[in-house]
Amino acid sequence: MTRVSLVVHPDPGHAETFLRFRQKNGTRVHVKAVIDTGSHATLLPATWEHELDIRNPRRVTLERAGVPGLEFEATEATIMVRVEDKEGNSTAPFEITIWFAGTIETLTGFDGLLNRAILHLDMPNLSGYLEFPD
Amino acid sequence: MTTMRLGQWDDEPTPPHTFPDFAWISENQQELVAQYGEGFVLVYEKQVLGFGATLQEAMANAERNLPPGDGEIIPVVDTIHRPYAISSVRRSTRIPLDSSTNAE
Repeated sequence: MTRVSLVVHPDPGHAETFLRFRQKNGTRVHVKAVIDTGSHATLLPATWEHELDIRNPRRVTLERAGVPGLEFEATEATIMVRVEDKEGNSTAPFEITIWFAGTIETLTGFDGLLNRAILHLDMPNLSGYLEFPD
Repeated sequence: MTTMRLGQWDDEPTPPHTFPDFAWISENQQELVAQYGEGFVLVYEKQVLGFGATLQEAMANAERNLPPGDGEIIPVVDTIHRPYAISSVRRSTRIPLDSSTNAE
């Protein structure tokens, strides 16, 4: 098991993790992402699409959960990611589905990422972690 | 002259300022949004080097604002924005039109 600590904020309440992606130039970059148990996949601003080493990009239509009519276009692709924390813990790289859309939000969703992890969130103590099976 | 790049090579450790800089951005989110608006920021050792509506714009802005010296720096990049009430995103559940629908 690899346990990766979350950064937990009280107001507004949310938890963040750090995703590390390979860029097209071969370097790896950290991106901070909010844990979102309502998102089907991980979402990044569209501007990252030009920088990251993605595979099999295709256009898809997404929507804001529970808000009829709030549809928008995005690029869906696959990408290799490591999940890391500030203590130096890191998963091995694995593949996830990723969306790039016209937003400045970065969300950590299920497809390939949260669906392989145990999520522990302790709001009273402002702590939490993601645990990944080896 | 100082140069800048985003990201580390595989054999490089994460720079020690990386996570403190992310924390600094989170702690100062409201003030940064008030000063710059919503968008991308490049931060190095708790100093904003560049801001822009896109990552590329923020990088170009930071290139003109590098600290003095001769080394190479690796700033962190993050987005700053007001808190959102609705974030969850999913695939569209809209039922696509098909031939039977068109025939009605």
